[in-house]
Amino acid sequence: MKKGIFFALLFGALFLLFLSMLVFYSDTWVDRERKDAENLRLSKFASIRDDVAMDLMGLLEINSVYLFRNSSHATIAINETLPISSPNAQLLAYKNFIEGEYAQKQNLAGKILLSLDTIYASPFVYFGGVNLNYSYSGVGKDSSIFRGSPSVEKYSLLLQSASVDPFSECGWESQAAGGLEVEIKIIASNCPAQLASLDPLSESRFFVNTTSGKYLNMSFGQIGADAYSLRMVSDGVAVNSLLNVTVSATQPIAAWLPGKLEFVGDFTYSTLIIAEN
Amino acid sequence: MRGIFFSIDAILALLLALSISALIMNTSSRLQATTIADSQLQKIADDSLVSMDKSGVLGSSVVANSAIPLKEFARIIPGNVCYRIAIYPQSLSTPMIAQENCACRTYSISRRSFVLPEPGTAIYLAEMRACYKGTSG
Repeated sequence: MKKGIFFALLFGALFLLFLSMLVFYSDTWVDRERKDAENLRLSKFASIRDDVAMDLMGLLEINSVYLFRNSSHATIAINETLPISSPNAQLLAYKNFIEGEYAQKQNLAGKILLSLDTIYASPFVYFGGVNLNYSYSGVGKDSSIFRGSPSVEKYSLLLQSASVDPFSECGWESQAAGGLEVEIKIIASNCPAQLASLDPLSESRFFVNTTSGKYLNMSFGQIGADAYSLRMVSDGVAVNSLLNVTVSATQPIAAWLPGKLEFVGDFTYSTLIIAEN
Repeated sequence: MRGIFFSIDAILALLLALSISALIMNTSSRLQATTIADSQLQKIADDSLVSMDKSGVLGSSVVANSAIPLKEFARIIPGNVCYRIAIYPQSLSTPMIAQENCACRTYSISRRSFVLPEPGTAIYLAEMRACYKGTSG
């Protein structure tokens, strides 16, 4: 009787041992499958991003692109003046190809969307899950926008007036105090350096005029739907001037520059020349 | 007598349990090997297309309207891999250029687009199918 109980317990223990082995192997297998699928998905998105970036370099006849990626999306950015003045026809054909035939053959039908017209409303290319942004600026040639975010701490601007058309006057049109630091230095003019703390949630405006009557207007703070932003509008004065903009921010922000494509990237303590004589 | 019966019973149970676990492990490792092989094939196909795109082999084939650049490139593909590389003009389902060493029944597939700006912007789709020679049909 005792032996019987012993064997029954032994068999029970063996059964449990093998059952737990089975469960362990099954779990390991499912986990491995899930990881493989995730790796494949990430690898595929990286491959598509690389593919699109290469194509854009060919289409727009540029030498380099920048690829950024965070946990939610990937961005293709360009910091190069386009050798072709109007790339929209090529981009439109490419958009149709990527959204249609390409997406379908990559088993991503409906998941790759391109938008050419509204730079604020939608990124140019994005994938569900891993987004891919690319945008051609629809903003007028003389308008530059740094689309801010609460991560922006300071805008530093350095303006060099052209000798043929020097700056004649400058000043604040409107100013609202707050926590957004703004520093403006103007070389070769009688305009004093400006250092202000502005309200990032309302618009403050600064102007610079030239002797020929041309102007450069700057708005800080709330620009349209975007707070913490900087917009510069000129009637051509910037073409003859050198303007450096340094954005101090804890996160990357986007900028749309005159005559250039969207630049989305890490502007933290970086300097950018946006117009050159 | 009862002891012998229990001993045989225990041995049989142990053998049965061992066979089941061996079967599970064997199936598991075989499936894993298949997954690794598929993954390797996919990588070979992806890498080949990326290399051909970036080195201009795909563009050269289109410009020359010839599979020779593809054939030259394919020398670096491992010898135990069957492949078919085809280039499709945009919107066409028939390849304009194709190069293969043997046919595949089941295969890993990779696709990559490329553009040729001159003369006139044209978009193409390159496709590579790959399988191991033992599995080709």
